Amino acid sequence: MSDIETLEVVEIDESTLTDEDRPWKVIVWNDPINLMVYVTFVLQKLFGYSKEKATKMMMDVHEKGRAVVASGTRTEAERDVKRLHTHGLWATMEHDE
Amino acid sequence: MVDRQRDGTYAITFPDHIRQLLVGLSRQLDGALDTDDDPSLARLFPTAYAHDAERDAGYQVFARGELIEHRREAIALLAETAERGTLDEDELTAWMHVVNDVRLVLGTVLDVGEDTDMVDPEHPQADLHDLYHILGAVLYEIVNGLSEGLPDDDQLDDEMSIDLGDD
Repeated sequence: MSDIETLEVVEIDESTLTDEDRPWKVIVWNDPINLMVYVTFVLQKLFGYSKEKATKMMMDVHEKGRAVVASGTRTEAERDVKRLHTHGLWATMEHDE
Repeated sequence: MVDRQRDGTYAITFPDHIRQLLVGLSRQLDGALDTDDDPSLARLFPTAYAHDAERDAGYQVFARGELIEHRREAIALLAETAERGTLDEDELTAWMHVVNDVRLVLGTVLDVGEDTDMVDPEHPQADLHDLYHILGAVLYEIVNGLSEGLPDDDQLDDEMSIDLGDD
């Protein structure tokens, strides 16, 4: 998604990573109750995403059933999941593959 | 019915019966928050770890209490400001949380699907369906109002571009 093309790709030995280091994905799942405008608003508010980006994520949730909305350490992901739960969104977290 | 004003506050013009409805429903929600294992509240306390029951149990231990506390604060703020014509952002956000939480419970009770629209007036739960749609309309107004307070897209740099300023 980034325009920056000069990022160096670093090979990481996955076996040495602990749960804390390994990236966790925060996922929002489709649900029939939450309003689309509400989901977009929450993503904008919590993550500072533009309306365009948040709307695209919301449409992915709506049409594909889920979207990754953030990623980070386990602690960061858990914090984000809780913020989403506070807003009534159906969010879970899982390991990055 | 929710208009952001120049000073950053919000003019609220919901009619009295809607305000009373919100206060009544928020009281019911407050009472329900103490019940454990009520399936209609499932959406208020979702699973965090979909594939790890043990870790999820750990999450629920600390998150459930915080989620209840956050909801009680929103309910209290709504009750305090229910009759006001002007709300600040925190107060309107509390209204948003309460309306959405009640919708989540109601939607769970009614088992709504993607294509649930108006039901037949003779439907045994027609009143609850009406209520669900009224809350949807109220939430829509609140979210649109609060969205006016978000930064415009051109003020954000999603793509992590760096503003180098003028040459």
